[in-house]
Amino acid sequence: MLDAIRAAGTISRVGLISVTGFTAPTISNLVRKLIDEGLVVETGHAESTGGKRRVLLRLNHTSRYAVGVCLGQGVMTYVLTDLTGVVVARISRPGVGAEAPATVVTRIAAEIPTLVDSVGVDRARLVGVGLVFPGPLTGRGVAGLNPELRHWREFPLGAALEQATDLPVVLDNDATAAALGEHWAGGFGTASAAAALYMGSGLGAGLVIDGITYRGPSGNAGELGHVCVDADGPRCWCGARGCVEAVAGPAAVVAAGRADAGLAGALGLTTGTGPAAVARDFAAIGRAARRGQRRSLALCERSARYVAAAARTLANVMDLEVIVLTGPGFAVAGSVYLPVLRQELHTVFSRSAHAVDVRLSRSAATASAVGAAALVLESELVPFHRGLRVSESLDGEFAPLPGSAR
Amino acid sequence: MSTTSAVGLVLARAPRLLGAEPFFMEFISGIEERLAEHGRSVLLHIVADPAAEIAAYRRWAQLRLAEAVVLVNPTAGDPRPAVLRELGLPVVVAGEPDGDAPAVRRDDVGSVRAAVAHLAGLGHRRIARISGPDTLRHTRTRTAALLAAAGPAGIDAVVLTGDYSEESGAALTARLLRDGDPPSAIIYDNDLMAVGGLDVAGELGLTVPRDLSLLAWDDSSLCRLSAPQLTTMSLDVHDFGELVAGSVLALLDGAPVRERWCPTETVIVRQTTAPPPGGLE
Repeated sequence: MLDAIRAAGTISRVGLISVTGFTAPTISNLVRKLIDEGLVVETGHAESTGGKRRVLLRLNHTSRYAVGVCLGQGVMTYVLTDLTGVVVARISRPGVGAEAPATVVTRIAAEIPTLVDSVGVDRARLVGVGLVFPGPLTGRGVAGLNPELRHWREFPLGAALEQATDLPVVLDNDATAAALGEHWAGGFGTASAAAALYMGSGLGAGLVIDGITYRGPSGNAGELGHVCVDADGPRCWCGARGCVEAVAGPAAVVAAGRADAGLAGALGLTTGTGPAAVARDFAAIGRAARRGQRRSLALCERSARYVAAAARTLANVMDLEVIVLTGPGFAVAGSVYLPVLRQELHTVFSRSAHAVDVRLSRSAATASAVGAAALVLESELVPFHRGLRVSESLDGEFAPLPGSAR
Repeated sequence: MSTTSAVGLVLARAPRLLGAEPFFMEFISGIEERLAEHGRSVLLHIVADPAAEIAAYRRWAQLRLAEAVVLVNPTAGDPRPAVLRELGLPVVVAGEPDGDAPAVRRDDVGSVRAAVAHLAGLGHRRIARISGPDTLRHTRTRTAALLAAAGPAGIDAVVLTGDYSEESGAALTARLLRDGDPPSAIIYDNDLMAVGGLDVAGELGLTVPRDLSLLAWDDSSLCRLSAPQLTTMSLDVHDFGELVAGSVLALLDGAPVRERWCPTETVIVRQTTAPPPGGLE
């Protein structure tokens, strides 16, 4: 219901009946409940069609807020969104580095009220926290196996953050969250099969099928970075050979850039290991490529050809209509990758049936944090669209008012 | 420095300025990157109107949430610098300051001259410019510079006021082209409006640049991804952000903050400017 109103912008009760398939009395009851909770307001009348004029409904933007956090090794991004998923505030803080998970949880729990206070929003209007990180997820919804985050493997991140913030917490991987955020922002248009290609410290993808994010049984669907593009290629950290992330991901681009002494000197590339240094150097190479600097352009275009091959595989398997490039990597270098991907996706098998549209996200730099906020809004306010909720499911059909017993 | 303090930046998302958002996202990423090297962050707050912007400054001062503020979109008769002074919030102005506040300036006069010289050199004698909102100081500076440069060069210049959105670029371009005596070249104050203009020119059956030259501002991905690729002024928005961060860092260190200037922009010639129909006069 809320999702239908959000997607429509404004809609009448009659419109809701046709969109949701619920009966008129059900719609009438649900709408009354939403209005009582302050989530929905009536907003004038639709054009008269001869009979009784229909009252239009819309979401009450400022009735609820959500926090989205993207936990990264190099940088942590926090956003605060309103009920419609529109960003009201954001801040980036240093990444988790080698810090102990419990310390990071304390830090996040301290940052959230500051962010909320900075925009003058009543903390009681906060629905919850969406927390996303570079996947993959393990079975218990615990943060991942990504090599630099190995010490997080058995840490009950969601539960610890719920306890520290006294707010519901929803977890997901960054690429899936970015896809959800793109869906909420309308970036997939009317496509029934769409993917967000996410370039952060690695490479991933999130899938939105028929308006719903597809996670797979363990939340790991769309692991595009581990599509094989060279059976005899280098060994990836995941154990397999020739993964596109190992062959052509940001770390591979940076390694090639650093190996070129002239380029490394010209761009001030570092020798730092760690994801923060890699992200900084990838940004430097991407920006130089954008300016047309020849060697940087060659590095990015080589990477783009492999990423394009992996994207073509995904498009063929999923019969995709739209691919959106997003994440901090594409925020910098997306305009260099885009033409290469467009070219490659002209050869997709299903192209005779429909085009595959490749676009840049309008909020690539913070997409996963924005998506994380959408994730918790969806999980708390829209039944049946749950992410990987860590606590007990909510009692009742809609979220209770914040502050009431959960 | 408290672990929760930050450099504040409020973006008033007046409906008239929606199209300026891609610019500010790139600008802020430049500030963030430079500040992060010093362990500092940008707190970005997006508000609906100027009153909410001023309320945010008051809240930040009271709760000590911002150690400094970056003020964007300076306007004529801007009320904000006085409020910030009263609150004791250190400020760096991105653009033309009101009074002696530390500022990072853009050479709008020099850049407009370069744009006019490029088009005049190709032989254009009727030039239009679709500007940003004329409440902004730099819009007024560019307008004055355009009129000053056009006269002596024997150029007939006209300015229409847009709002940075693709839609306004398209609508105003259509208005110009349907006029009885349309310009042979159009300058846009940003990239989005130029993209809108390029689309509309195609819809009206014109071939760019053979029939009409277009010159965009703010070199961004959009300018390189359009077909044909947009010729544009070279402002590197990311670098502008880094310069602002440099002034902020100096301010917070208590060092004297010199006025910083973005490099005067040059024309990056791509595929949308050419001699006017009929060639050089």
